[in-house]
Amino acid sequence: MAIANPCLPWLALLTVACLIWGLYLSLFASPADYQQSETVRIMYVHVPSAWMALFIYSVMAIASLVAVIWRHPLAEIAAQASAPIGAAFTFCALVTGSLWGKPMWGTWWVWDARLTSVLILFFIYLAHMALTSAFDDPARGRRAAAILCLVGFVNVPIIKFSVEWWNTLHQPASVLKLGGPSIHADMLWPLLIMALAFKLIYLCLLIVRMRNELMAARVRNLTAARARG
Amino acid sequence: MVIATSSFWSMGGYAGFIWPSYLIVGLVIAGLLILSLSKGRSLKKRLALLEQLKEKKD
Repeated sequence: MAIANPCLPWLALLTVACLIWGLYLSLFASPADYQQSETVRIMYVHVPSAWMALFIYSVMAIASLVAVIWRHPLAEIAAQASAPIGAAFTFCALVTGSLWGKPMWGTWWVWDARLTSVLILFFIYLAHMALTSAFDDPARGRRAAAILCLVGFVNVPIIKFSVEWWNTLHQPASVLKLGGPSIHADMLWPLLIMALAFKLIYLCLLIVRMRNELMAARVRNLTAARARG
Repeated sequence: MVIATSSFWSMGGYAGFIWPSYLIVGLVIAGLLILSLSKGRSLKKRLALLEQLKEKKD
């Protein structure tokens, strides 16, 4: 955290620059799709949000594993600080997917494997947040949430491969797949820049929220010390 | 300028789906950022007060 704090203003600046560049490419510089016309622009916020939903959960699972095995306190705090950010990106992926689904599929929602497994991921995020704050002793709450996170990780490969294992309305992968991306560079670049901007947003939010958790722990300790007299 | 043209804002007739997508993502991220920063500010104030009280006591 000693390195992260002085880096934060520069990181925030880089994030804003990357976001402006990504939005310019997404809304102005990229072409409309030959089949989906302008609605393809929803992809530039939907896909990075969905990637972040999986990425943040994977980070949380690694942090939880470190917390359970080595009892590293910062790992638990990283997982706790990540959960609301992951929930926010999952919510964005679900809502933008719905807004893309209506004009392209003719429906806001369908209970297919991809959509349902992402909805379950959203509920796991919410359960993680609830469990963390369900105990009087925050350390116990974080430990219980770490176990939930590790058990819930089984959902991550299910989401990733749901479009291949089951017959879904959702299209299969077109960027992260064997043989390279099947998407044109004019659309791939805005997507990658937006994905980078979302990663940077996560990093900024993570630093701010971890700093908050550390301050909250210090406040709890001082308050308890005062109560003891 | 392309931004001033109505064809840009109408997004080929899909404005009602595209703009809300960008707006919701923006609002959710901005909301989370504002909440996190304001919580940090209030914690910082509380911590400073508690440390001041501790120093007085010591």
